[in-house]
Amino acid sequence: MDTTIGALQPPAAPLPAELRELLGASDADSFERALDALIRRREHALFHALGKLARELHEAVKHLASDVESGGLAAQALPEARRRLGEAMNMSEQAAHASLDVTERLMPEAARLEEAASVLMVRCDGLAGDPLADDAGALARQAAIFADACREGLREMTVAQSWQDLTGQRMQQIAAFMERAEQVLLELVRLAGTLAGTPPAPAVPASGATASTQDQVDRLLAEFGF
Amino acid sequence: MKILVVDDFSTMRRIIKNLLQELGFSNIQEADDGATALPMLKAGGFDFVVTDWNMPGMTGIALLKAIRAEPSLKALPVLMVTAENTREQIIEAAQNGVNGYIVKPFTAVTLKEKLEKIFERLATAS
Repeated sequence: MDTTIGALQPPAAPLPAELRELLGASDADSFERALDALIRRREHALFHALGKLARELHEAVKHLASDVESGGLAAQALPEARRRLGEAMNMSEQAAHASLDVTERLMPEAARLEEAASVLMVRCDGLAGDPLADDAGALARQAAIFADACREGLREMTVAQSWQDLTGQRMQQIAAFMERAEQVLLELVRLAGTLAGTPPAPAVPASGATASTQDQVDRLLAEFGF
Repeated sequence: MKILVVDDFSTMRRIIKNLLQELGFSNIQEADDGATALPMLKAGGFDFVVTDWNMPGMTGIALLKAIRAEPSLKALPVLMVTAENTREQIIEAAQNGVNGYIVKPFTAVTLKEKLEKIFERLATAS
């Protein structure tokens, strides 16, 4: 059994013809030709990928531009979403204020009840032994406890309304983000329009490449919308 | 004691005002950001400031810095009540001389405790 490392490795892929030619070049001219051929092969793959990317980007921007023109995402949907978010914030603010109206109205009433009950308790204590005064005293004690519990509950209700501040802050952050996204989208569409109105810059420098390579590249790029 | 409550949310101003009233403070005024608060404070008469951090215009931390930089206001006690609770922010507030820091959401008990602590420290210092 062969246990050498070489035996475990997969068989090496054969060298591309251009590389074999390059390595086997016997003089400077044939080396240059082989090198050009190798570079062209690599450039072809690169421009193919670039062309595909450019076409996909072009299509995406075209869709976005048509969406904007037809009053879609950036033109209408995003401002509308922000408007609704603003409405939700206003409604939550009104709801929180409505709850605070109630707590503010009841808080002094609870305080007055507690005070009146305390006064009555003292008076009833002075009439100890009188069955009516005893009953009134017991009722006053219950009322005082109830009023105290009410004040505590109303205080908790008041603090609980801080949800509006916390959720409102998040809504403001989302609205600000949406506004930024809207501006970026519109800028992208504007930029794409500007680019579409100008001839594309040469994809590769004219010098340093053979005419056939440039033509090949131009044809290839034309296929992808350049 | 005259207190200024600074917050861009009217609900939060009202909540803090109600809680302070419950604690026996009745002279309370409101401002919706630091830029509105600062001239009110400079006009004089305030003994205590409760401020939010994140506000449009002038933030709470900018207000705190402005208070500490103003000779007539630099000793004014400032309590921050904010949802901002990163370590860096708390350190920044402390380094700029904040007297207390409450993280939202908070309870009435927390507010009471922090206020008492601030007044205790001020009484010891004076």
